[in-house]
Amino acid sequence: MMDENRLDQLIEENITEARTLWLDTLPHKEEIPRHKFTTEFKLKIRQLAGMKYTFKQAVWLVLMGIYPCIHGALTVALALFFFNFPTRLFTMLFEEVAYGLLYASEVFMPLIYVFLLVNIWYTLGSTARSNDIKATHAVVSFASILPTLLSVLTIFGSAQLQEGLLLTLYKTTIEFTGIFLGRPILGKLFLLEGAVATPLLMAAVFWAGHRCLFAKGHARYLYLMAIPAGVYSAFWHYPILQTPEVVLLVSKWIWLVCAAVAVYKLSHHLLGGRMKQMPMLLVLAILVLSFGMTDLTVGMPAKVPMIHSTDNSLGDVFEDLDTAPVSVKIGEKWVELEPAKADALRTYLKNIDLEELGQIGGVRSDEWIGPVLVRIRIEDDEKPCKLVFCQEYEQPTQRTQKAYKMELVFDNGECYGYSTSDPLKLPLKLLDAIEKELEAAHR
Amino acid sequence: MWFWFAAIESPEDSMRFEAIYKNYRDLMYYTARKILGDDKDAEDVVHDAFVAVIDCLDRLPTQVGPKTRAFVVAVTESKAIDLYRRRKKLTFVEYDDALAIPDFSCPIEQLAEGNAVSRAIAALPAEYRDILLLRFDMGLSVRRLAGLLGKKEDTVYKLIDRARTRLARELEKEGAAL
Repeated sequence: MMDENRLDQLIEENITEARTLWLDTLPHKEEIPRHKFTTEFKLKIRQLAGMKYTFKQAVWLVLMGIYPCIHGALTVALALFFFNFPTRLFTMLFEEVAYGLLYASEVFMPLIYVFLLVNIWYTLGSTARSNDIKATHAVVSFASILPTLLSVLTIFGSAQLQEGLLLTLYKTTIEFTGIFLGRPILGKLFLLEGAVATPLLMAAVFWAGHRCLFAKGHARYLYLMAIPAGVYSAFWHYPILQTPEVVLLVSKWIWLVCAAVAVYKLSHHLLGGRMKQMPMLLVLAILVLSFGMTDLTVGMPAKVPMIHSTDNSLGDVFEDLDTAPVSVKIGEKWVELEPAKADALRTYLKNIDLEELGQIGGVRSDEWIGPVLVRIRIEDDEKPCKLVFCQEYEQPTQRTQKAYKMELVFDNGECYGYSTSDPLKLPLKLLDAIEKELEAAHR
Repeated sequence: MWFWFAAIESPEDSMRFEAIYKNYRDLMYYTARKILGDDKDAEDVVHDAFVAVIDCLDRLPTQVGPKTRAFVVAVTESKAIDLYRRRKKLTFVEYDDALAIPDFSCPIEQLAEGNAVSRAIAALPAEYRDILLLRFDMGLSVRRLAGLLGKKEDTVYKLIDRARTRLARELEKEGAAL
């Protein structure tokens, strides 16, 4: 067999003549029928000519590569730093850390938005000459401003309440999100960011990505990523849809898998070569793990930590329930219950179905899904005795990791339940049951 | 039409692309259509080939000529053959007459007079000929070829190797002096 080097030498010496011989077999220009190209083809060529290929690579890397890298890296770093790796990390692995990864990273969302904004501004704005590119840059930049602004307001507004940003960052996830319960305006800002501003940004990024990728024929991967993301986002941010938990979970995982496939394929096409995909694959792994880990706790019973009430009156709940005297005020008269009947009432209170409490009567809102703290205030003349009842509840969904406080106040034979923000009537079924017990106890 | 290309970063690049587009788009379409037999697929391939042209503008001569013509046709052929295989769900195999897989080669009888090696190269199956032209005539590195043709580097190496092997076999058949 011929030596390879000799062969290469032969090829190099004869390639030009070979080219000429081959080209002579091709038809001449006059012999080739003129083809009428489709409008779609002409549009693609136009867009193609509008952006150089390497430029599109840079844009795509910025939009899709750096953002998840930062998000993923911050998520992991926060989990390690704020949860005192390794001891607490291991002990709380399937509980707080899972949510910590997700929610702690949300704290840095304004920084991520700002970083994205700066990158887009620099990458697109500084080198763009095409009006198309400048228009793309303007749209994405503008769409980034609103979520950035809302995130900053939300975080720093929270920091004011928690005596500084560092304290805010140090709090556990439950406490952090509990802030919004007591501050409706911040809660509404938070929801506004998630339900309006972020989808707006994502739509703008999608549009920009589409303009970049359409010319190259890779727009289908963008659809593969964007459509499941949009569906999941709608389910997550719009509680009015009342999406069943399992549907939410499935839609999230579909989104994650589709996004992983799409980013892998795009990185293969744009970056080429397996080694160049390694950073992207690492980012994908971090993202999938951090989002996916939150679902490991679904269905697992979780201890619900105490929630700070607005007046900080939480005490030793279970000791009070078992030992404190119980009086019932009916009308103007306070009646101390006999021990047997007091025990019966305590037993009844302990067995209240809190989920039923939240759903019967048509009160089905985002705020009801989650740990519910019910305080039955039963007072006597000498010593106010507060029975605080807290029932272990199933792990709430990640979107409703909120605490909700409600008081049941017995007054003049009527029973009211007060939420922290809105007064509401308890369902009749429960009222009837409690009143019957009280009448029996009073007799 | 000219303003479409005004957005390419330098005016010189813009003019060169314009010249290539104007001179060779029909030839590229003709080449792709001959292989694929479908208008839509042929346009897709031509579009992909123009992407490759933009990427390699720095390697192409400043004036359109035989080298540019060979480049655009070679790239178009490579991409068309890839698409043809994907449509037919064929994996890469050695070209073998017994398997009756079209190799889109140019019969050696149609070639003009020339030395045996040049004729053997020109008569190779299209995929082998194109890779040798792009590698040795255009001087593109394997990495760049991989990006251009949408293949992995390993695949490009294998393709070049197979092209060499096939060329060597043809030369031995012809009894070419080495």
